[in-house]
Order: sequence, then C-alpha cells, then structure tokens
Amino acid sequence: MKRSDGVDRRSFLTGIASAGAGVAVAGTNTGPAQAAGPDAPAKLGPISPQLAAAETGDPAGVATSPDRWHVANPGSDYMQRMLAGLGYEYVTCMPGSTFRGLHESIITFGMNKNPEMLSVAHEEISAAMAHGYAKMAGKPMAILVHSTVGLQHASMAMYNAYADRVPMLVLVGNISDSSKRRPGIEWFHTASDVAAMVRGFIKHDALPLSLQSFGEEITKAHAMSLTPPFGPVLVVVDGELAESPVEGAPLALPPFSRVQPPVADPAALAKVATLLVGATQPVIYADRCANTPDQMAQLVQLAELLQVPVIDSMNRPNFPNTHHLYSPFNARQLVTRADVILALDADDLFSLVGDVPDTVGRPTVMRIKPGTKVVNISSLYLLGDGNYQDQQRFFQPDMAIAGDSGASLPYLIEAVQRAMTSERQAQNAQREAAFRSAYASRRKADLQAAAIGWDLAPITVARLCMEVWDAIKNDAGAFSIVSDSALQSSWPQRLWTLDKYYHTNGGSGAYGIGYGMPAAVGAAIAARDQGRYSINFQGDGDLLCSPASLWTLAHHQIPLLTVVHNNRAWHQELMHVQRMADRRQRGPDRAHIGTVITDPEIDLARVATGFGVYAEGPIVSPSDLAPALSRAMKVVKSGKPALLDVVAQGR
Amino acid sequence: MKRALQAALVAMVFIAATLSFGAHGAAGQSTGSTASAVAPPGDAARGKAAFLKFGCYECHGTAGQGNAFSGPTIAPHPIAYAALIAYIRRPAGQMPAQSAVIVPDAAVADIYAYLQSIPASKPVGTIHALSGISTAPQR
Repeated sequence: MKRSDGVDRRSFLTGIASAGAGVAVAGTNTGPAQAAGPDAPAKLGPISPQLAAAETGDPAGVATSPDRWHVANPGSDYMQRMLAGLGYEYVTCMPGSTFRGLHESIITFGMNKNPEMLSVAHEEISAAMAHGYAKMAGKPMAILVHSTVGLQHASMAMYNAYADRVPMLVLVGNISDSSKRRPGIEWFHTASDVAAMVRGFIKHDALPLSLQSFGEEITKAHAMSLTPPFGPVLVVVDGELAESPVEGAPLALPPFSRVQPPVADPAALAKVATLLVGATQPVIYADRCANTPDQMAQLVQLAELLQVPVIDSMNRPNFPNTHHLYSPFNARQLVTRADVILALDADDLFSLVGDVPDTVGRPTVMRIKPGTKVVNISSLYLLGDGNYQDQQRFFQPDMAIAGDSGASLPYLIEAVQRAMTSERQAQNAQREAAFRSAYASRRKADLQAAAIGWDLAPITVARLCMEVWDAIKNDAGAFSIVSDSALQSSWPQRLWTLDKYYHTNGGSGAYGIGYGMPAAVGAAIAARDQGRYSINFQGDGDLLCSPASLWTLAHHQIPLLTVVHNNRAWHQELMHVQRMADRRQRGPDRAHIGTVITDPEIDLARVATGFGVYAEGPIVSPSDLAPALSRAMKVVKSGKPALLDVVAQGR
Repeated sequence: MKRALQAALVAMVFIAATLSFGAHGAAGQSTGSTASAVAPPGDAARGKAAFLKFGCYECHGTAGQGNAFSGPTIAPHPIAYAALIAYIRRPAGQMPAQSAVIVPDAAVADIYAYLQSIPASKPVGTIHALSGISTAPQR
C-alpha cells in the first residue's frame, strides 16, 4: 500500500474496497498448473469416458479432466482467485491434508503471490500472527487451518482477536461428504459442523457446498470481518470442492465493496457536544476508537477543541504520547473528578467508572461522583454477547449511542464546533496551560522513577525499556513497537516518543497467553512491508507457549528485535498465589511452586539460535545490555530477526 | 494461566494508584501489632532476605523501586515506619494484608532497615539512556 508520510497505509477503511470489483470470471483452464501437467498418464493410452465413469462414479468429472489420473481446473484455483481478488497478501499455513488442494493452488497456480504463504508450526501461531498483522497492516490476513484439530489449536488466538475486535479470515479444511472421506484419519479430521467449537467468538461462518457459493460466502464473510465491530470470520474449505474439477460455465468472482461503517446518530452527537461544551471537568476515554491514522488525528482535533484530557486505553494507537492532553497515567484522578465522561468504543465501561477490587468479598465500588454524565459511543452495541464474557460488566451510561466511534469523530467534531460558545472558547488557553504543566510534571516524575535502581540486577524494567529507546531513538520514522508493554509498566508510553499511528499496536484483547511472540511476528511483517523494523517486548512465559514463532521469523527473514523480559516466572500467577497465601495466613514459602520457571533455567538465547534467530543471553549485568542492543540492532537493520534474553525484575 | 492477565490498562493504572502509600492515612489505623512511631532497630541484611522471602519484591521490585502495574515505589526514602507497618497490617487498597502471624514485627523492622539502606538514585542527568529526554509536551 502506498505510503507518503508513513501514516496513510494502515486504514481499515481503505485499500480493499475495490479489490475484487470488476474481476470478471475464473475457473477457466488458464493457470500455470494446467499447463505443466506430467505426461506419464498419456503413455498408458486413452481411457474411455464410460470406463472412467464406471470406476470413479463421477461421470461429470470426466468431461473436464484429461484422463482418469488427472484433474484439470480444480476448484481450489477458483478459491485462490477469490483470495487474490479480495486483496489478501498473506495466508499463514500449518499444513494439513484437508486443504491440500487449496495449498497447492496458492503456491503453484497463484505462484505464491497474493496471497503469499507464510509457513508456521502451529495454528495458534497462525491466528496470532494474523491478529498482529491486521492491526499494523490495516487489513486482514487469512489463515489456513486443518479441520477439527487445526481449529482447536487456533481457537485461543482467535478468541484473543475477537476480544480485540480485529478482522481475520479463517479458512478451515473439512470434508463434508462422508462418502468421500478416506477411512481413518479423514474422519477424525472432519466435523459435521466444524465452526461450532468457535462460534461463540467469531462474527460469522459459512459452509459453502459449491464453488459459486464459496465465492459469494467468502465475499460476505470478508465484508462482515471488516465492518465494525471487526472480528474473525470463518469459511469452510471443502476438500472435495477444492480438489474436484470445475464444471460447467466459468464461475463469477463476486464484486466486493466495503460496508460503510455505522455512524452515531447526528441528533445524539449534538447532545453530546452540548454536554461537553457545558462541562467543567470533561474527560475522554478512548478504547478501541482509532482504527486509522486519520482517526487518531481527529481525536487530537476533538480533544484540542475543548482542551479535554484523553485517557488512552492503549488498545489502539489513539493518541500521541507527546501531546499535553495525553492522560492515561492519571486516569483515576480524572475520572473521579469528572462531570462528563465521553467513552469511545469502550469494551469495559464499568471498570472505567467502577471496580471490583481483589479483596475478600470482592465488593463493588464506584469511582465516579453522583451526577457525572457518562456517554458511550460504541459499535459493540451492535454485537451480541453470549457464552463468552469479553464484553465485561454491564454499566448503563446516561447516553448509549450505537456506532463506530472512530467513524463518528468527524461528525462529533462538527457538532462541538457548532455548540462551542465564546465563553467556553475563552477558557481553553487556561486549560491548555494547566494540562501542559501537569504533563511536564508527570514526565519529570517518570524520569526520576526510571532512574531508581538503575544499576540493579536483575535489571529494572525501566532500564530494560529505556536502553532499547536509547538504541533506536534516532529512528523515529523507522520503528514500530509490536507488543503490548503493560507488563513493562508502559515505560515506552511514559518516556519514549510515540506520536505516529504506526508506533504502537495494542494488546492481546483477551489476555490469552501466547499472543506476544506470534502477534509480533505478524505485525512485524506488516511493518517490514511499510519500510520499518519492529520491537517486541516479550515475556518469557508467553514465549514458551509458542517458541516455534521464532522459526517463522527466521524462515521469512523478518526484521524484529525481541527483547525478552525474563523474570523466570509466570509472575502474575506468582503474585496471585502469594495473595492467596497471605489472605489465608499460610506464609509465602510455597508460592513459587508451579509459578516459577527455574530448575532448570531455560536458555532462551540458545532456543532462539536453534530456530535460526540471532540471539544473545542471558544478559544479567545491566552494563551488558546496551552493547548487546547495539549488536542486535545491526542484525535487525540488516533485515533479520534478533533476540536478547534479559534477566529482569518481575515487573 | 490464561485468565491471569485480566487487568486492562485502565484497571492497572487504578490499581497502582490505589496501592500508593502515604495518602491513605494508614498511620492512624489500628495495626493489629505493636507498631510504634519510631522504627525499632532492624538489620538491613536480614531485612533484604525477609523482603525476598515474604514476597515483597514480587510487586515492589527487589530494591523497592516499584512499578506502575502492581506496586508503588517504596524505596529509597521509605515512608515513616509507623505508616509502613500500619499499611502492611491493614492495607487500604488491594495489597494483601501481611499479618504478624506471618511477618513478625521484628521482620518488618528489618525490612524497614533494608529499605532505608537503599541508596538514593543516580541523578537522571548522569544516566546516558535518560539524558536528553524532554519533559515538555511536543505539541
């Protein structure tokens, strides 16, 4: 995708809309696979159609196949064309026999372009890669999944993507016609309703039983995935359909045009504008709001119009951290004193205004003061909720407005401009000065905090992050952080300069561990294609869920620096078990059992090297970190991956 | 394990704020132990061992440096001993209470001595990776 200033290339709203439009037909014998068939069967002499029909039970297939041993014009070639027409650049693949026909069509008929196949060693890696990629690329990736077992592997990462409202196309091999399944394995690897196991956390699924239906259903699924709230969709790839020849007239490739996103009601936005203009302590909470660089800029415009602080959830690159209204780190103070709160696509509105603290009895407490007006503009009002509880606890705002908040921003800005009064306008200079002062004070305090324990071993997380910054700080337009950094105390958001949309990529969505490494790989592919290298702050426990992601990194030569925050534990769980021991007055002596990763300590650098990735570690001494980073960055800037295993504090 | 990382960032920030010492009036609460305004004599070396043994480091870091996710900074320059032990026994926020049954007063005194022994941080300007970072908003 074209990029000028580096921010116009990852729009969820552009780039794909016309990808499939105007494509006429497919299913004709024009692909390279048909031109290169082996000649061995011809030496056996012709076989009559009648004989073939008698032996195969498929007289219709004879008409479009050269002989009984070969298939011309297989259905999966049409499937490949559909993927190309819809604009899929990549498809991940842990190979599986149920989609072997489509596999071959992608790599040979399509010559492994549009989509290009990315080799992975586990379906969970496939789905997490697609998750990370979609947010950075601004468009979805497809994943090929081997029926029952492959989908079971992929499911947790799909759930993460669903909870993070991220588009993804899941193509599941299956053999629906029981009379066509070979005895044994193919029965284990087939389900009557294969999507059933994940239906609670996908937006849409389809089981097309003809090629024309496949074309229509995948187009519909693609549109569903890309309509807010975004989410994974699933289309079954029937093995027989893929492997059998196309019959009859050439198949149409259905045209695709993107569904326009739902926008908030103008009358409701006018009321919101009046509320905001009349408020004395308004605050904006931006969750999954900015899905494009333009929307990030529009949120800045809205905040500046009113000089309203913005609490950025960091689930999307909502707001530049260099802006004086960037206020995620004093969220409690802002919410407690607010008289109007505007939430934008808040997944967890309750936890913004209230809490259930982790204390005995788990009492509900509210943070907002009585009379505070809460507004939520969210596309989630358009999405049902069922078995899975990813939409969090219900909270009734004063105004609940269905619509994609990002797409609604231009209209809200206009409404605020119309509602603005000269009196309110006159307050802005004073408000801006106060927020600038508060920003500087907070940043100064963060600098002081980062210095605490600077020479400590295990290395402090602040030093871990800031040494990385020191190594890349002159590359402002050249890097993306492709991991969540919440467990690193958000030091990058506190002290780095992250003012471009592509500088960050949000988190996992559902906190399913194992997201970090493969999602970073997927996002780094998108960043690479946009001319940047990537940084991944990686937990050691998370890495152990999907270490084979490292092989994909090496195999496809992806410029990603992975800095392992190695606290040799599932540290969050260690704290949980400690809490239980404290609560029960049983002492902390045994909290480490089942929660630490020692005896033996894992040599992660050696693991990475074994997968073909440049690696150093364990780095224990703080003074060894900067030189190691310098060496690793040379590798990354040469277009290859590198990993540093850094033994660091728990948090 | 997959349920572990439940807190979104906003919750994280709120938790960190809730756990902050000092502003909760903890010193005025009943401690359930023999707290006094003046720190009893403690041994820093034993205190460091206790700090690790009782799991204080898990949330506050091995030198009390703290973090935004789970526990605030408690060193260098710890709060008054009376406030510290009061908060340990009856925390106002989400920090788990440490009873005297598990962490005796003498151990708290040792921990306090350890926290007091932690040297002041280097000046920011002397740290290469922190120097040159602007504190002013850029836009």
